[in-house]
Amino acid sequence: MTEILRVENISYKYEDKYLAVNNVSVNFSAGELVAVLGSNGAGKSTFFLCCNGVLRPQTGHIYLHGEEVSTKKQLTTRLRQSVGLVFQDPDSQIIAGSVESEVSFGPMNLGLPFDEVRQRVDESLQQMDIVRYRDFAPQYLSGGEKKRVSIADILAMRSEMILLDEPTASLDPKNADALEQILRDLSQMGITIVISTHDVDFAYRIAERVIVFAKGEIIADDKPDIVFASQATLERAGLKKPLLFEAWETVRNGTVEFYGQARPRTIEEFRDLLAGNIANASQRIKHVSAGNNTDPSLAKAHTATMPIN
Amino acid sequence: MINALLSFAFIWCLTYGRLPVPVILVIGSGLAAFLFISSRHRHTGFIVTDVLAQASRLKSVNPTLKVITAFALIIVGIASPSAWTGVFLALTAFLIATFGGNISPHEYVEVLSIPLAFLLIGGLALLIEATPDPTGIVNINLYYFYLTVSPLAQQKTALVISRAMGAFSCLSLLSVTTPMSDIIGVLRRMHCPELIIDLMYLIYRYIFILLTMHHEMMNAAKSRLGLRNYRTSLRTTASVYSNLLARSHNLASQNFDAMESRCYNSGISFLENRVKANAVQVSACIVLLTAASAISLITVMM
Repeated sequence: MTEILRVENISYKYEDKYLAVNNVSVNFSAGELVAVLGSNGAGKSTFFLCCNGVLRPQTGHIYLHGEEVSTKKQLTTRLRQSVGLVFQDPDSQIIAGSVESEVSFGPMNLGLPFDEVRQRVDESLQQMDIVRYRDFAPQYLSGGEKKRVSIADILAMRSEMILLDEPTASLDPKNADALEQILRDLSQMGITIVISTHDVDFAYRIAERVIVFAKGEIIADDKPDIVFASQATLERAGLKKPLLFEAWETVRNGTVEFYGQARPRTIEEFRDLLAGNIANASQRIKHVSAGNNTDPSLAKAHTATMPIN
Repeated sequence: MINALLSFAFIWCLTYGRLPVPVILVIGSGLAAFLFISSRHRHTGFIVTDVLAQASRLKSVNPTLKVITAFALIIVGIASPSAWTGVFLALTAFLIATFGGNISPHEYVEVLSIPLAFLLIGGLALLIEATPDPTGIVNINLYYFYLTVSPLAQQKTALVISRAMGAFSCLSLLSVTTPMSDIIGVLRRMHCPELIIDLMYLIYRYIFILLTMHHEMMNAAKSRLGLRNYRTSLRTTASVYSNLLARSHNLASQNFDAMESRCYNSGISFLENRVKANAVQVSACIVLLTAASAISLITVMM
């Protein structure tokens, strides 16, 4: 996969000497859906601000498409355009008096022709399904609608990579589900999505890769199955296992013997895997009853399966 | 409520001796009642002029034409030696905003309410003088001196307040019919310095952000009995204002980060309405300017 952004050994210390990001190195490729996990104050938001170029790390290097982003204004502008940042609180991002003006702010800053800006605004509003709010004042929209506006802001800039800081925070379940679908759709379109969250269930459901932050450092960067299987990593980061992951582990380690290594990431997958294993176990039990197998573990599976059947 | 009382006092002092007392009472109490009813509690606590502008029917009129007309009317109103020009401008702006722009009278009055309060207080200060002798039309004895209202003060105040009211009405009409993004576009085309435009816009935005924050914090204080008596209210208000400063500074910083993250580098600009002015719109503006000038000339000649 094509590399979009690479950061090498970046550190950022605030004026009060608080080291928010400590020697972090990571890279992001096109079309990835990544979750950055960590407890409050772990350095996720500061890391995002560094990736977008709002904060300049005191040490380390940032490369966009292999080219180092220096202090040159042109390169910083390119970084901010390519790596869009959706802030946690839409109210601190939204600055205009109408949704249309708000979405046009980024493209206008890029110095694009008027017609191009209008076209981008129209497309972004359509993508986020907020065309009907075009003339509305953003401050009077609901939390979910404001979040859509703040994502439309970045889509209008045609960013290749979008960083979302706590996107599901303060959203009701319906809006959180809608947002999850939007993120999946954007990922399908080839946009790299990086989500900062401490909602492990959300991260487990959506991400292909999980990066775990603790005290400004990256302590894990791997597939969700591997990261969430490590109790030590989760404890160090102050996180818990996703509910579904834990439920599956409990079921697997219980009385029922399961086949295959797959873990469910959605409730649908959980149901299917459970049903599949039960059916599989039943078939094998029939086989044993016919006197063709002497595997002792099947007797245990038989016991567990019977009440369900 | 304060506006209603101030307006009654102002009308009384301004017209006493010129109009019969029953007429003054009717005009004064009518205006006071109108202002009192118009200042009902809103869901959001305050009104955002940009919201009215987005909903206005006159939003689609060419913004440059609106800005030029508004400023030309302000010049006519200020230059006019007649108080009737200001009255004409205030009434015309009200009618255009409500009938032409489809804004409710209540909302329009609410937009005007804060500057109106300043004008009324200023008007009373101009009208009332402290003199050693009872030489005015109205004389209130305060033992060592008199508070008086003289006919000359009435005349001067009428002119000053009508000019201010006319000018402010023109600006209000512009702000409730033209979104801020369009006004910024016009100012930029007029080569207004970027720094002034940015400052103007950010101050405008932060007024509403501060008001929202203040509204939320006062509600939170109220919910915890923070305003249960006078002493507690004073303490709560002081606490709210000190926190407001810290919180608004924090929010301003976050806002600036968000702007920078979208490539902002001085020069705020948004997508704007670029509709060309048609003959009807231009004619209407010329008629309005001619009428204001004509009223000014006629009243001076009379």
